[in-house]
Amino acid sequence: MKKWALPFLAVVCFVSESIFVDLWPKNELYMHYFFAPRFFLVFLVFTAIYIGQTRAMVYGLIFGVLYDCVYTELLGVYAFAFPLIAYIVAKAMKVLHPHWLIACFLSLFSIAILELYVYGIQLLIGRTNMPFQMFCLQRLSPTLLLNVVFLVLLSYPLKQQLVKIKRLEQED
Amino acid sequence: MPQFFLNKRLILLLVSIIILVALIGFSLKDRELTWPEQFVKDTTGFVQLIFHKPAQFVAGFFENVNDIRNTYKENKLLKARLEEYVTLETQVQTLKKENERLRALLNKKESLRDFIPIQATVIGRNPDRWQETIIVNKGEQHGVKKDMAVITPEGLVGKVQHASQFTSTVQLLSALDQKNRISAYVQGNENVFGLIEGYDEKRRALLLKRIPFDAKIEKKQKVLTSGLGGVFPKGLLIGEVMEVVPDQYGLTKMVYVKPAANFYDIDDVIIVKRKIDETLGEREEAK
Repeated sequence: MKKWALPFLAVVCFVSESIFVDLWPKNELYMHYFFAPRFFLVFLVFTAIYIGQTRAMVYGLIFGVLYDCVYTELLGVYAFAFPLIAYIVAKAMKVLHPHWLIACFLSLFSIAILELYVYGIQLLIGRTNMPFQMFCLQRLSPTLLLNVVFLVLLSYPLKQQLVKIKRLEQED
Repeated sequence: MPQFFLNKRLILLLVSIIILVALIGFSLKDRELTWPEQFVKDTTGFVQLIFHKPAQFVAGFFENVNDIRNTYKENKLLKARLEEYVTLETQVQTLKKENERLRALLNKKESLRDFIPIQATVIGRNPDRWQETIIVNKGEQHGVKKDMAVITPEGLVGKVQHASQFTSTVQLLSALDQKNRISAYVQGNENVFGLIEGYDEKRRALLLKRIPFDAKIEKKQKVLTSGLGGVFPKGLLIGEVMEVVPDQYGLTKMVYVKPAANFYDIDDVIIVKRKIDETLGEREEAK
């Protein structure tokens, strides 16, 4: 039971992204602004901070591959980015204090980095021709806003859960 | 300098970048899904289905509440349309019968129009939204193949991008893809043929290109698939003409087509399998 808690959380975060987009009411807001839920990335950053670097990188790699295969069908993009972000966050934690607010801030920072990185790749391979200003306005800021709401609502319980998992593991 | 190359992490990073580029190049090719990918997709599809059902139930409840508020107005409008519908229905019936009789007379059984519908439910969407794709719960085991047309009752929405054994990915018409071309025609006294190439995001309109310059096209005319592209059946509604403009070089015309189906609000879709391909296949097997 204890063993499965972390993978289960990861799967829930991963699947909920797709379901969130699918069930969001398709109004003008949806058509005009391209907000992307990045729940799994938030989970990944929190895992890197509260559980450990190796585990976060492995999760990042596995779910990155899943993300590429299942959602985007463009192999390698997320499989490369997720472990790298986990690594950078874990390294950053050596100088930062693992406070909840700092974790939230780091999550937002990594979301912005990830969006920019994916935008760069899409631009490079010609799948989009969105100018940079439009990208900032229609994609980056709504995405950040959506994820701020998610962070405010659910990141504290997530942190508590992860800390609990870590504690149980250390007791064994 | 040697220290630089001895840094294990740096080497790992560089190797991963090379792998990344190679993988992107590999996946950009026009390809079928490899079996590990298919396996991963099907497994995830199953998990998605489990999570999707309860989530949809909750979302559906709120949608229902919203719907009830508009019921009275809608009911009034629909009642007015009902009588119109009855006359149309009888007309369609007689035309259908006549068509069948004439076909029997000609001994021509197959038509580009006939298709076998495969009902499918949307179980997921691409969350990063760079490519508008949806994942549906029917795959090769149910007869879905790559490039098949996907429709909703309103009209054409896209085509099957990749099919794995139990799920498949549908690329919506609004996706920016140079390879995504659909042979279509504008319905009128004289049918005008062209190709749907691309999507204008600002105007939310499909672009119907390569139309002869002297073609007469009016607004509100219907645009349908022609079935000449080889995969789609004939006569699936795409949309209606919004505006006609000269093409980039002025040699041909271009039409903005307002899509009949809503690309965003999709819950259930029908994957369309052409009947004519099946009968042809059977005949070849019989030989």
